[in-house]
Amino acid sequence: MDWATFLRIAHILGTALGVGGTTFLEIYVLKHINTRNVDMFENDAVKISISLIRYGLIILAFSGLGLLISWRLNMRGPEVFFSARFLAKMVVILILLLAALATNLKFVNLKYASAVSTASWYAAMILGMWRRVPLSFFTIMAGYVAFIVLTYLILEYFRNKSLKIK
Amino acid sequence: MNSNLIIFLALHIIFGTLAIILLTAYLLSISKKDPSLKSLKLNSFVSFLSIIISWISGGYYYTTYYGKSVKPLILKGELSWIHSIIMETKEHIFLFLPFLTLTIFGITYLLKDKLEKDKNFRFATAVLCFTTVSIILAILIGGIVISGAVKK
Repeated sequence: MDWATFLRIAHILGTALGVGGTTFLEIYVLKHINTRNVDMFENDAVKISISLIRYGLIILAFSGLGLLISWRLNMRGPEVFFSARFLAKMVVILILLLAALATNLKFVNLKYASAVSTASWYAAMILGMWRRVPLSFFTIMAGYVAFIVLTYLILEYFRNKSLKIK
Repeated sequence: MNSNLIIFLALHIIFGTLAIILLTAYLLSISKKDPSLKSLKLNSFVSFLSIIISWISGGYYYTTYYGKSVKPLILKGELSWIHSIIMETKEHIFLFLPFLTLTIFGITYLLKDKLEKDKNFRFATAVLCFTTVSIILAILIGGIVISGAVKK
């Protein structure tokens, strides 16, 4: 197996852990949401999911940088490094990291942070898989912002539905 | 580029990234009500070592290869400002990092009692840690941009 294949496998594994972990976490929190002031971060399933997401991020960071080294060695140049798709993906990942840090430090409202986080994981995954994105950087970012809003509305709908059932 | 240079470049990136991860873990740990001194000591020590290794490996790559083989390629292209501004900034700002991480390491080891008891001091250390992480992240992004400017 060559390095490029190994790095791609690792990158996909990191994505699976991150996207899977985030999806499970959102569904679990929505299902077990309550009106009492119980700290969800103390829940075991939540702690395990957060750990998986963190391991996914670490694997993604190293494998992603490994792929960038191979791009650099092949001198892929500005056409690849500064393509709209790649730049958008990097911005999405930065926002994801900031949202994750702010959530862990409890600086932000969890509802908004979870929408940003979930939308960012899916957006980064889609941008990674969609090889030839025929859109400009600003169009992709506008789509990303719309996706965050949509994610927030969907999560809010299920949050309210879950609270009504209780 | 020969395999030794590839290894040094990879080490430079791996250990720089490791420092970001460990300092972020330090930041999250120190922000808790009851931080684990053991994990703070380990994270600060290993992140300091990581920065030193990243410094040495990056320095070797820069002095033996970048200067004569990569810099001319970037300077002759349309994106010459990437070397003139980003690489030059990166080279100089990186010099802060061993001292910043050493300070965090020193605080954790030598002032552990103050760190445990004084909430304001803990906050100040957290701010220092966050600043250091931000600088390393900016340098990492700078490195990606510089790599992107290199074409055949």
